[in-house]
Amino acid sequence: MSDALAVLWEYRATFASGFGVTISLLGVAMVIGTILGALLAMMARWEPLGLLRDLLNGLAFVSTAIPALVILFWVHYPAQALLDVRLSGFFSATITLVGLNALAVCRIILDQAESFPKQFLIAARVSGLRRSTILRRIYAPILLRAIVPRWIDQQVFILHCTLLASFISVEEIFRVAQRVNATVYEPVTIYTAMGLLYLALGGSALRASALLRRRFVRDWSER
Amino acid sequence: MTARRYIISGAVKRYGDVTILNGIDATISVEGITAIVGPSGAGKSTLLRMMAFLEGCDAGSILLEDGSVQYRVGDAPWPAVTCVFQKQFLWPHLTLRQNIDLPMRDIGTVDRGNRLSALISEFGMDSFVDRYPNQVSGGQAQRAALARALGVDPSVLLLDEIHTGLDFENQELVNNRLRTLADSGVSIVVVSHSLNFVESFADRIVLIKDVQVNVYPDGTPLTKIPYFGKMRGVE
Repeated sequence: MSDALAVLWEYRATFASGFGVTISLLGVAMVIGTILGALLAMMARWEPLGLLRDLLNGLAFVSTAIPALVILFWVHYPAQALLDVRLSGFFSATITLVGLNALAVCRIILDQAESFPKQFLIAARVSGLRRSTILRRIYAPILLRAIVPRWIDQQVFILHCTLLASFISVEEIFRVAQRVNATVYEPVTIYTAMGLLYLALGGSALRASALLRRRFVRDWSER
Repeated sequence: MTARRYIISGAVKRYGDVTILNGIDATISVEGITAIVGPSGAGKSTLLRMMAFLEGCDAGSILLEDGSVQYRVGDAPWPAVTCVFQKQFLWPHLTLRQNIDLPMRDIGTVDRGNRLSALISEFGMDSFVDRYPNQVSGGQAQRAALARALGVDPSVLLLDEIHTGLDFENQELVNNRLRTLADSGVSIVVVSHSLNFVESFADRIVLIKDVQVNVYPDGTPLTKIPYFGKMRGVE
């Protein structure tokens, strides 16, 4: 453990840089992916013909069936060649992770919205609540409580997916660890150090998720 | 007292292959307390939901005539017409107090705080009103649901098996409260399996059975209604 910490300290600037890239990837994918996913879900709910919902279901199916790494490679190499554009690895990884996260968040919201217990809305209507109150005080809080646990799991998945960016030369934490290892060749120490960094990051995410769960998720089981 | 009645014209209601109402024509005066009775699965709750304008007919129409005002499906006459469901449908993320308070707050009830306190006290909810719906018994939830409905001052109160889960003392409390409400001009329509309630509190009886609706004149003794006569061995 002390060796790992020593390596971390010695290469702190390099690790910090990789850590920063990982955090940036995660942050952008999380924020934009969630907003985009929520917007897509709202549009799919309101679009009367259900075409957008079918399209999103299809895309979600494809993105779940194909490994994220294959999608990342496809976005970074063939897609750019086909479209005749040149994007950095970081940008390709960001597009991929935002897309995957948006589709997953959209699916989570649509699933929960479709299985929303309508009786609570009926009770709200006969109680004379205004539409805005129903949305704000009944629909959104109940839906949010159902969404939060799955959304947290999805963000932890995206955190793990940031590691894939190393395959297209993005200097995120895993690639940094590989480079440091190539220099000092101490795999046990290096990967232990990297494990500690992921533990710090993932642990923080899990801690935050536990707080969110406590805040939003209460056991509603009938006695 | 203002004349208030439901007019059902050629009403047909089906769920898939199952016919609940088959071309019903009926006029149901709802002044005082009206009991809707009939065997399980006959469509009592469906009729109640139609009377709350939550569901339309597959054919025909149902309208509520309240003096010179008429309500149809799509008119959204809530909370003037409101409903307490068999399973209460209390909002699970709010405490019972919040469940009762939210509608009053939203419609701008005057003197809301005192109204809320009065309802809590009247239904004996002081000891559990700050719990969530899943933390109370069925009877306690039933009282909270009734208090929520009364808080919005309805003209027509539709109740689906309101006695479920209530002990004798609370049944008495609820029945007396319904009687007081009815006497003050609120129309009460109750789907009930409680023979005692129907016999002692209902002003009229609506029997739904075999996809037909029969409205019996006010004061008809139960023994003259075949459904009850058979139960009591009266021919």
